[in-house]
Amino acid sequence: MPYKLPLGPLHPAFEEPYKLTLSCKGEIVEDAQVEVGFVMRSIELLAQRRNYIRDLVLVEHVCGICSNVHASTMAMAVEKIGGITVPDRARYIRTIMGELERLHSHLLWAGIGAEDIGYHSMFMEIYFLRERVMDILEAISGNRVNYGMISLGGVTRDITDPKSILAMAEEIKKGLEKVVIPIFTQDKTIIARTKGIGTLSKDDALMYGTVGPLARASGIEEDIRESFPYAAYDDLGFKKVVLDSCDVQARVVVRALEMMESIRLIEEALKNLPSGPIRPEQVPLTIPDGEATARSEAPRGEVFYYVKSNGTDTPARVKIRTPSFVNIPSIRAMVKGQYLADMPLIQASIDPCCSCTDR
Amino acid sequence: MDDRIIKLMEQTGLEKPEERIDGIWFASQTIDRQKLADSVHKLELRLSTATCLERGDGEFDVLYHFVHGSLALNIRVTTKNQHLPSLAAFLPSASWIEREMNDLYAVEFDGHPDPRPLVRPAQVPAGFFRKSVAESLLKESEAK
Repeated sequence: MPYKLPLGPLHPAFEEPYKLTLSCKGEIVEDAQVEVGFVMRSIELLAQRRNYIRDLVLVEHVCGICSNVHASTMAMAVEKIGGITVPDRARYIRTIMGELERLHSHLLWAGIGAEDIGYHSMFMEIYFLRERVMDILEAISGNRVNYGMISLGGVTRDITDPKSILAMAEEIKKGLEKVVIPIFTQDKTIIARTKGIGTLSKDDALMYGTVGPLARASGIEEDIRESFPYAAYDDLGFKKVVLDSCDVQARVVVRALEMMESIRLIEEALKNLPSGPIRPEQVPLTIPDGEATARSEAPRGEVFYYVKSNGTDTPARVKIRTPSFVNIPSIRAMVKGQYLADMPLIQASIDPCCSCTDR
Repeated sequence: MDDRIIKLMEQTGLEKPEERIDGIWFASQTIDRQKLADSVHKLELRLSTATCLERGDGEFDVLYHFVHGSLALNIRVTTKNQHLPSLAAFLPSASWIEREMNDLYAVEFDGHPDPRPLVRPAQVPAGFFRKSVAESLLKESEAK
């Protein structure tokens, strides 16, 4: 006898509120309806009522996990319209912040994934490491979540002591190499729980327009850090991680290996940090008439910003497209024919972020 | 110009590309949605998102943003009596964004397969991002 089962909006397996209505037959899920919009704050509308400086602070609040990438992408769009050049040192610091953010976001996800699998000691290990990443973020920016590092044309704070941060990064690297990577790629418990479930074919991934680690785990060779480099990725070189087994395990492995690439980028950037100013001396308060789009790679995938300026100090339109907005609908393609008991893990494998999706 | 853009122009009848710092821009009123969906799927272009802009004359500009690697393609269409033919009818990735534009700007997408509200709270009217509606809602909440 077929029946419908609601998951959420509030559910122990969910990080944030959204609703899945599953159509099941016995233990097997046949279809899912996805509903979002439980935490809408109209940030796009608010951004059209504040000036550019206040907007950079505002858009950081789109997401509590990938806050830095929103401010830096918005700044990139505005810099394109205003023709503002970012100094080299600021480009490197933006890259370091972006990669630290990816590291802490992927570790947060890995911890929650381990918890969903039922591997509690792993959860503890990962959160211990994540705390070290948060320490670095706090040492650089003075904040743990919304960093306030991005200003128009550069960054607000300098990295004054790269050596001590390098030492902290070394400690994280060891933890990743010794604990996180071997367990996520070789451990029998993890493989038994993740292999072959929640498959998203390459064709479906393209149809839904998915981005980020989810798309790369389905064989889509797209990482904007490589294909259309911004900040300092061009100078530092970048190797994307692509797998084509399309299941939850592939998503786990893609994220695990991406963390190693992030650590390499952070170390490389810290060792080669150029000298010079961190922002232009004079940043204009008003931005000339124009429109521009900007893209960058957030932990969950590509972030897209469209900014239209009307020559004043307030944008006429800010459009924010977050990665979860395109990733969450693809859950529907993943759940068909899966066991109900695997649902928490399948939905967690896309790393859904609802405050991003609803804005 | 990129081969994919030339192919897309042949397949969809788009013309007069404008090259800008952030990609290629087209404006078209008559573009066939089915041809556009087929063409972008063949060329592996992903729909990144769409942006709705208020024009000031009661109509709206809708910008469809497509991306693939370093290629960024933007197509601008304008509503007629706040109506547009739906792209989501042929391209599933356009479904959520068209529902969102309907919530925020009350633009109707004719032929949308699933036109339910997406993000709009039940207590506000459709089109609450429109300048006039947003101002009056704000005044109301300030008066309280």
